[in-house]
Amino acid sequence: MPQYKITPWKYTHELLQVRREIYRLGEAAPPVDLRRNAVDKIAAWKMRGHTPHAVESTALLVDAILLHEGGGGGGSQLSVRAAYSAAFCRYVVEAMQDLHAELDADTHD
Amino acid sequence: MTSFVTGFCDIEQKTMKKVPMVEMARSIDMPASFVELRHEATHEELPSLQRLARNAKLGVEWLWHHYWFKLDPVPDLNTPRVLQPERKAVPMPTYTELRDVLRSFVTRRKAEIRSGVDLNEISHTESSITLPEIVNRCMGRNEALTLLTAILLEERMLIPAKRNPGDSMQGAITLWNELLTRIAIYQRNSGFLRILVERFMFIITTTTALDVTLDAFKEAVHAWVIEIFSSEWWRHSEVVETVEGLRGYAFNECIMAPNYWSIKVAKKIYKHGDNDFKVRWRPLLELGELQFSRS
Repeated sequence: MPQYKITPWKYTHELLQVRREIYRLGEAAPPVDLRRNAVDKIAAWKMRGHTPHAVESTALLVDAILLHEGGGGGGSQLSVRAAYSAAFCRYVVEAMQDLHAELDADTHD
Repeated sequence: MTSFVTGFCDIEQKTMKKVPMVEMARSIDMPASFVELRHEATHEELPSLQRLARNAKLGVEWLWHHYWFKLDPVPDLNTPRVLQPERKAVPMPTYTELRDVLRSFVTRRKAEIRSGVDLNEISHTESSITLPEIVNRCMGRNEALTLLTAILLEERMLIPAKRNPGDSMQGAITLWNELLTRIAIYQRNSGFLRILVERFMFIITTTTALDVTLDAFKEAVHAWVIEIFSSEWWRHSEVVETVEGLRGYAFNECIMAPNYWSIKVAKKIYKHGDNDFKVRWRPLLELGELQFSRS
């Protein structure tokens, strides 16, 4: 039986587009910074559900980086640190959860 | 919010097998410093802005290698540009740091082999095979990888110190194969294997005043090249494509500077190439052999 995988994006190239925007890939790297655009798109995907942890973590980390670079948080260092911390903790914990899930899948096979 | 998440994780940890986070991090090539930072951010004071910024960028980099890159590795083989300037923030590993880490690796690995750990089991079990964080810090940096390669060779790691000509290289190969492939896999984009093979080729093709047949060092390097291009271990490793990509280069280098060892290496590399490779390089091999027999 075919394995169906539900994704919040319709076509894989949408995901690759987000990747290009975040990591500014390739020769045709956009002259304008599209990271904000990519982060917002991932936020929208998140509402639909089934967003992989790695995608979500990337968005959170990049969002914190953008906040920092843009001198965000109303100039408060504390809020930038809080944003970084939250994003970072979530990223680490979710990477671990993915590992757990993988190990579980292995033992159930 | 973070304490909420941690709380949840703790519950989960209790219900499942309890594995320390550092161990888990190690098994997914995540630097131990990430776990420390998360711990600090969750249970102690918020870490400094500088550390957070640096680690967030490293996190984005980690995600590239463990998720984004794997989506479709073909079109953008180079490390993304956006990751390049960030490296300045991470201190470049020094010669001594790298050497000490590698030395302690050898010690642990030797103990493991002595205690009879099954080689095939090792990658699933424990310890020495996990990449030290410092090796991760070399990622994508040519100078650092060159340094790493130099230490592996010159500090007599890949090549045993008190080696006589004719001594078997099997011990050293068993000791290092696993770590070398792991670095090669992890550093796939930054060309660790290419740098290593280039260095090997340089040694093999340089003429020395010594009687070449007695040059134990070259003999050992020749054994390594043969190992990489012809052993089952490397053929079944995840970097087999990289190895195949380097076969032509290594072969060419040997033929262009024919000497006792380089011709030996060239023949082996040729023998284990596929048919296309053989058709393409056959004339050159004959030429190299001819040149060498005349000299």
